[in-house]
Amino acid sequence: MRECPREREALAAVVAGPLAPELKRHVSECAECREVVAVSTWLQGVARETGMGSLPRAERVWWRAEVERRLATRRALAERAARPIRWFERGAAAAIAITTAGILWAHGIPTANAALARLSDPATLGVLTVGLLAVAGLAARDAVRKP
Amino acid sequence: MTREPPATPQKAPDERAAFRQLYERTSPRIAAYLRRVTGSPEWSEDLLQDTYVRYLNADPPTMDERQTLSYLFRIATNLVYDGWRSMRREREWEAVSPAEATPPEPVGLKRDVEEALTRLSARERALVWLAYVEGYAHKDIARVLEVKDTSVRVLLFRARRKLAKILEEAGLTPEVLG
Repeated sequence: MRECPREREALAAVVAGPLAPELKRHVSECAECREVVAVSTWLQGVARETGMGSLPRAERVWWRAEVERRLATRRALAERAARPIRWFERGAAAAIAITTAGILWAHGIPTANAALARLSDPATLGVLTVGLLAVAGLAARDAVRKP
Repeated sequence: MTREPPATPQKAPDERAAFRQLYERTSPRIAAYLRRVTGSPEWSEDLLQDTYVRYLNADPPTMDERQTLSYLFRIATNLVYDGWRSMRREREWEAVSPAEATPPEPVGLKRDVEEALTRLSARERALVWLAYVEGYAHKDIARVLEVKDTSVRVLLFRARRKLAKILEEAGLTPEVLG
C-alpha cells in the first residue's frame, strides 16, 4: 500500500474545480492520485445527481422526537411507581429464604435419607413448596419483562 | 379519575427553529449517504428520520456544525448497522451480498458508478463516500465508523482500489483526466 502526500490536494482540487496544469501533470504520472481523482470525480457526480425530492419535513421529525421523548418520560415514571412493589417482592423472597434456612438450621442439615423422610413432613413440604413457587414466580416475571 | 400526563420538558421554540435550520442544511448530505450505504431509498428515508430523532433526544453537548455533521453521520452509521443486526444480516456490513443488494434506480450517465457501488460492501461504501464525497480525513472517518485510524487507511485504500478497478473494467475514465 502506497500513499502520495498530494492525495488530499488532488481531492480538494476535484471539489474546487478544474485541476491546475501542474497538478494535472502530477496526477497523470502518479497512480495513487490518479485513482483518488477518478474515484472522487465519479462519486461526486453520483452525489450531485442523487435526487432528494422526498425528504421528510423538519417539523415532522421534530414532533416524532417530541412524542418519543414523552413516551420515554411516561415509561420512566411507570418504572419509578413500580419500584416499591418490586422491593416488596424481593423482601418476601428474602423472608422465605431466611425462614427456610432457619428451619434447616433448627432441625439440622439432613442426610439424603433423612431429607427424603422429612419431605413427608407436611410443614417442611409446605415451606419448600411456597419457597420454590415464589422463586419460580419471580423468575417467570423477569423472563416476561426482559424479552 | 383521569390523570394528567406527566409534565415533559419541552424544547424551547428557538431550539425548534435552530433544529429546522440544522435539518435543512445537513439532511440532504445524510440522506445521500444513507441512500448509498443501504442501497434502499425506502429504508434510508426511515433511517434519516431515526437519525434526527435520536440526535434530538440524545441532548448532545454544544458542537460546531462540522462536529454536528460528523455526529449525525455516526448516528446514521450505527442505525444502519443496528438495522442489519436486527435483521440478522450484519455480515453485509463487511461482506458484499450481490443477491440482496438493491441497485439504485439509474440516474443519467452515473448509472455505471451506482451499479459499481452496489458491488462494494456497506462499510466500503461508507468509507469511500465519507472520504471522497464528504472529504473527511482518516481520523474523522475513524470516529464516524468507530474503527482505528490505522484501519481506515488500509480499508479505504482497498475499497478505493476495488471501486476503481470495477469502473475501469466498465471502461469509465473521468472527464477531468481527459
